[in-house]
Amino acid sequence: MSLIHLNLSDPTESSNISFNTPSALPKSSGDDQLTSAVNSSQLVQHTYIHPVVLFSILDHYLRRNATQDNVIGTLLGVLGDDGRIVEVRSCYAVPHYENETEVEMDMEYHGQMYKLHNRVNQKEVVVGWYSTGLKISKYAPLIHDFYVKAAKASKVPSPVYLLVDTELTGNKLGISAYGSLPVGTDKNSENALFLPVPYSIHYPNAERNALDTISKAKDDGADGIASLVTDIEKFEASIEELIQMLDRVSKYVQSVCDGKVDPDNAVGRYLSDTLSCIPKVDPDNLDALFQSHLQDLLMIVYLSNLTRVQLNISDRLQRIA
Amino acid sequence: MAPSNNKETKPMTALLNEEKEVKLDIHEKLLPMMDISKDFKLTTVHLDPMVALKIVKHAREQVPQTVNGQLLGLQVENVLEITQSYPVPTQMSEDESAQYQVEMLHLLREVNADTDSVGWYQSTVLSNFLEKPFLETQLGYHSSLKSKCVALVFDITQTERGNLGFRAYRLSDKYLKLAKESSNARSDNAFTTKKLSENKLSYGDVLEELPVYIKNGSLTNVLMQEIETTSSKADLLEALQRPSSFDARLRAKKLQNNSLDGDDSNTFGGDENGGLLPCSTPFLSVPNPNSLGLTNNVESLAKPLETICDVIDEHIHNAGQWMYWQRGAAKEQRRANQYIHDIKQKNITRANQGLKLIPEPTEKEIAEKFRILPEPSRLDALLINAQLHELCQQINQITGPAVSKLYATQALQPTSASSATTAGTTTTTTTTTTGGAAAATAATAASK
Repeated sequence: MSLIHLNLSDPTESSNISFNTPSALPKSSGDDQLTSAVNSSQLVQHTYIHPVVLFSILDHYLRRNATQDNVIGTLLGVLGDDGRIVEVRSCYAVPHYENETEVEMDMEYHGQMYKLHNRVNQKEVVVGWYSTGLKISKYAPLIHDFYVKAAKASKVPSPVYLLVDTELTGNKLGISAYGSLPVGTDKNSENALFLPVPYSIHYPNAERNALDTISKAKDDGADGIASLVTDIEKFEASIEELIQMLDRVSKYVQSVCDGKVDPDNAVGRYLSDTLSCIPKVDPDNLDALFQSHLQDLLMIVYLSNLTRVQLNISDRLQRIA
Repeated sequence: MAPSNNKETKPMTALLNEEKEVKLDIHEKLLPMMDISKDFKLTTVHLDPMVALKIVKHAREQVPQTVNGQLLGLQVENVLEITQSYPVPTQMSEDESAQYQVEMLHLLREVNADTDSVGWYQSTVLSNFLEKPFLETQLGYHSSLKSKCVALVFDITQTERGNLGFRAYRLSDKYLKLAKESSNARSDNAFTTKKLSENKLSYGDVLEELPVYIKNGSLTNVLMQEIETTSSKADLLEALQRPSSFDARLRAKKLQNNSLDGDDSNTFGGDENGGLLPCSTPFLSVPNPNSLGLTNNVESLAKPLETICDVIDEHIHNAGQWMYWQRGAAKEQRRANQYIHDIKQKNITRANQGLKLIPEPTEKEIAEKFRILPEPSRLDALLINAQLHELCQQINQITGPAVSKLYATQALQPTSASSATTAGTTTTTTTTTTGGAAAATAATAASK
């Protein structure tokens, strides 16, 4: 009981909560039932979202039917920490239809697609669903109820609801995640309380590097097009960025030393920490290491070039013959 | 649209042009595609970021196995736009696989995805993909989809190293011609030395590479903006609020993740055991830590070198086989020549003696009498050479940055002795530049 009150009284969060009970909260009679409900359905503590999920949702939204305003789909992923942490790894679109009075969802489609997904990746289970739109729609509890049942089959205690604001309200693409709790005395599935769940976007190394290129397409490509580069070009770009950063930092430090800018303790601490990261190595030792490593590298380059030359020669010889 | 006198032999284009006048609401971009008489040759591949990420995810989760899947999209004039993809399970019979693909396409069509197959993708470790099955699959696509299909090769090792590694290939015309010949002639092998040199097919042009571009939609751009700004801000705040402890080792490790040379792909790169670790590589608009990491210098070189050794062994084996065939064939040929020569000699003496001549043996008789084996297929050798070439090139790709990084490290070290932080940073900058530049020139010189 107390948990619900806490969240409702918070004015900053109340906008995120869709409170769908038709009647007012019962004062005392439903107390026991409510607390038991809160305890039994653990709310998800944290959600990790893989970037591919967000990209897929946007693609789905772009390809919606002309008459449709919103799209919904299933989120797949894995659970950790007894189901309190959810990692959303992929998703797929599910056709649905809604109007003022009713909502229809293609459950069969959901089942078929899940089966196909399962053949490629058995680890991923239904962990929730997504929809686009500014706020939680009035049909959300109904759809959520379906996913609660679907998730139960894969032992997910509480599914996640991911809401992506594709209308770009406030000039930003709002992403929010919710978990739901049952509310009220009767067990009607429509009585649900959506509580915001903290989320963060999870970047495995490979994805992070892919996003680097995608980000480049955003920044300097004409029409959002970026070409893929070779390793050395990529490295050069990274070095250039690094040099820029160093420039910025040294400029800042210089201006602090000159007394132009007020020193910031946190930044200073951070800088000194960074500098202390450099390991102390005996110069002679380092020199030896450096030389041997360099020689190794150059030898490899030499050998690989030799191999290429040989290949070339053999190819030409074959043509002459 | 020129008016044609003969109505019956009106070309297809004219018919379509007429239709254009009626249906004016067709989008301009779509018009060229309706013109089926024109055959556009693909020149570029545009990859949707979502597809790129889907393939990255699929490949990463199955490392070290290679994975493959289907590409769906649209061809617009010379550009192939890949807008959707789906993975194909590896262990499946052909029937199951076909069933799976039909179902998948059917389901995707329901949510308005592009459902034209435009090729397939394959993940690779160390760019070691160029093998016979690869060519055969691509050949299959070629015959069913004509020219508009590509094989997208995704290099997971390169991507882990810091650079998104996608390459699009298609079979070259030269190779296609020979492959067709070898499938037409039942037993005759088209890939002989003679044929190869006649068609000027060398290891470099079995495949044609098409440039791949990542193409963002406007919503994707917004999403990227969102990801960059929100996460970098949050991360910065978190970093600044962190208490400065003197537990140096822990701090150093933590910082390494955030600053220049931290590459701890082991933490969650594998992803096999659940991978539910909190994100340790924040997505900041800073230089990519993966491409600046020192640790992967040696590791990423050891594997290609091992592979090169294996491929060279294969090459030697293959060359040995060919030499063996050549010796055998030459020997038989000599014997056959000797035989013909003998008969001719005998005929001369017989003619002198006025005896009846022995009929000269026909080619068929020779072939029956002497077993001159046909040349083994040179395709293997061709592919081995292509593989070697690819691997060597990759080594150069790795060593270039590696040498520069090495110089950068050296530049960093002496300055650590000096105590002045400001001076230290600036010197580092300059030395890194000079060191990096020197190394870069060295690397380019080496790659030439």
